[in-house]
Amino acid sequence: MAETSYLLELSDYQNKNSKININSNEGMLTNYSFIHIIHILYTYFVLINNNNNNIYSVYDVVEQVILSLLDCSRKREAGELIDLLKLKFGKDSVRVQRLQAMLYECQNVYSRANEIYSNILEKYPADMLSMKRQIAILKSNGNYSQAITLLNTFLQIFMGDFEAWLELASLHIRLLSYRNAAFCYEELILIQPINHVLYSKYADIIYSIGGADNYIVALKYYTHSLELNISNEPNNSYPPTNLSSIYGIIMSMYAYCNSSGGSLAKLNEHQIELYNWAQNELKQITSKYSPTKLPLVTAFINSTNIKQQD
Amino acid sequence: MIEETIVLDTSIRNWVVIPILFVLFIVSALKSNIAGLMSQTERKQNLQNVMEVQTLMRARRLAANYNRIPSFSFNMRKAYFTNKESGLFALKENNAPSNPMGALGNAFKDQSGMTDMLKGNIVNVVPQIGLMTWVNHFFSGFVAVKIPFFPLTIRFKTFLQRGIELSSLDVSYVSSLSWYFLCWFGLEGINSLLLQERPILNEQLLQSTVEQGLPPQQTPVHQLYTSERENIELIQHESLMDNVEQRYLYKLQNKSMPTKPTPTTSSSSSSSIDQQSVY
Repeated sequence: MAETSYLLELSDYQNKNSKININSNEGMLTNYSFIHIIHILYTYFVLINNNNNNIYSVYDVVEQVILSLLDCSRKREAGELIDLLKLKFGKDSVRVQRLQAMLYECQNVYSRANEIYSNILEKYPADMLSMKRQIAILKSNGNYSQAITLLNTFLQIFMGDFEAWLELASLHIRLLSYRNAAFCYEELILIQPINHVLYSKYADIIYSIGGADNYIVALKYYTHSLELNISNEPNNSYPPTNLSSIYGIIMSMYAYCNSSGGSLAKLNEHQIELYNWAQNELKQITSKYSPTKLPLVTAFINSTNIKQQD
Repeated sequence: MIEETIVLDTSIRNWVVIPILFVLFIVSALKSNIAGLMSQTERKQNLQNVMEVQTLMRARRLAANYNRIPSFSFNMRKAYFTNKESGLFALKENNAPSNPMGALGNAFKDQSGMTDMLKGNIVNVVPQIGLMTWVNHFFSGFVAVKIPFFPLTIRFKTFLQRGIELSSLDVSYVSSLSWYFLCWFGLEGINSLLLQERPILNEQLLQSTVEQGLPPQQTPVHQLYTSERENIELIQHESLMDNVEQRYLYKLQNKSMPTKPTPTTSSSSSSSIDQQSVY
């Protein structure tokens, strides 16, 4: 009975696909519905296969389904689907081999997975995805320094890879080497120059390095992040999304005034004005969207008041 | 003048029009299969090539967005690319003269690209030439079809009556060679409908993501490197962040920046940001 109901739901799988996209964009996908959707797609695939009505584009979906199954660590179903793909495309297909290796990873048999990736790389030295998986294995083993080394060699070749730089940055942050992480974020900024999140993150890292000069740099990057993502327009239906930059502005100026080599007198008039604006903005946003938190925010603002310092 | 209708023999229909149509369809069906078979040889990508392309892209990005990173970081990257001894571009340029053939040598060096091109040409050109000779040889001088409904201007004569030099013949009559051309171009859509079941071969599909690089370059890479190096060397670093606080405050109040001598790019760049931020 369940199968027929799925059949009804799945009269149009493209439609379904678009629905999934919408869901994942909203970020509202709960774990339950995630598995549910996987199940639907899985059943759909089985139906298609039984009807002997294969369309090749289905296999793209199958690959996605396998990946999501592995994410949910449902190894049995993933294994079944991989076996189907093996029957269809043979064992030599690189993509199928990669999926098989990912299944091994999921089963914690890292050595076999690594072996498969190495074999693929021997044959196709420019296979980016296998290299990335090898790095991921090192990372999941907790072998961060080796992962960084391998990622560096990867990035010597694929230096335009956004995710790889992001990953390297997060590994460096994990090992508290902020300067290297800052380098990675500069690279990311060069790749996506108008992504405001990167500026805010970069400022976070620079702030963490510390020192009077760096606080000012952080302040500038927080401001630029806000400049790229102005969310204080009155007709906005969604809450402001760049609060961390507003906090960052206040904090970096506060830290600057407290650090050796920096003081209130050295800030120029625009920076003071920006500071006042940030305080007001923070209060306004809080009272509008979460009034219960207002005491906390007021306490924060009072405790980071740069004007009482001297 | 009385329009005299020419009666076309039914055996012309049976032995000229329909065979041409049929043969053309068969040939294009075969062609799509043969093209699939021939292009199945895998195109391996070497790491060197990938790295060169990516280096160029990275250098171009640096040249485009240099004002978004601090000047210290910019100088670091500038040195990485352009340093005389250890710079990435300098190393390549010093190695470059080992290839005296230049562009030509480079193009020939990449054998796979050449053979692919050759294969594509063979698959497309050979049947076309063969069919044209066939039609020309066997059916030259036939009036094969009459276009119904509407009269055409005299200019269509060269298009529709190739192979027949009769000035008195009405334009709506189509010669066999022209019929062949009409079918050749007109059948594309019908073919794609009928032969659609196998647009990509299955094995290819599951292997295609291995190779996602750019096509082999024709320009020798050290020339591109030299131009990029010069580009980067010419850059005078100026930061977008110099007066970002002021710019932001003005933006909040919907005022434009006061034009000072120093902020040369700030107002224009902030407006370009507005346009881009849709992305």
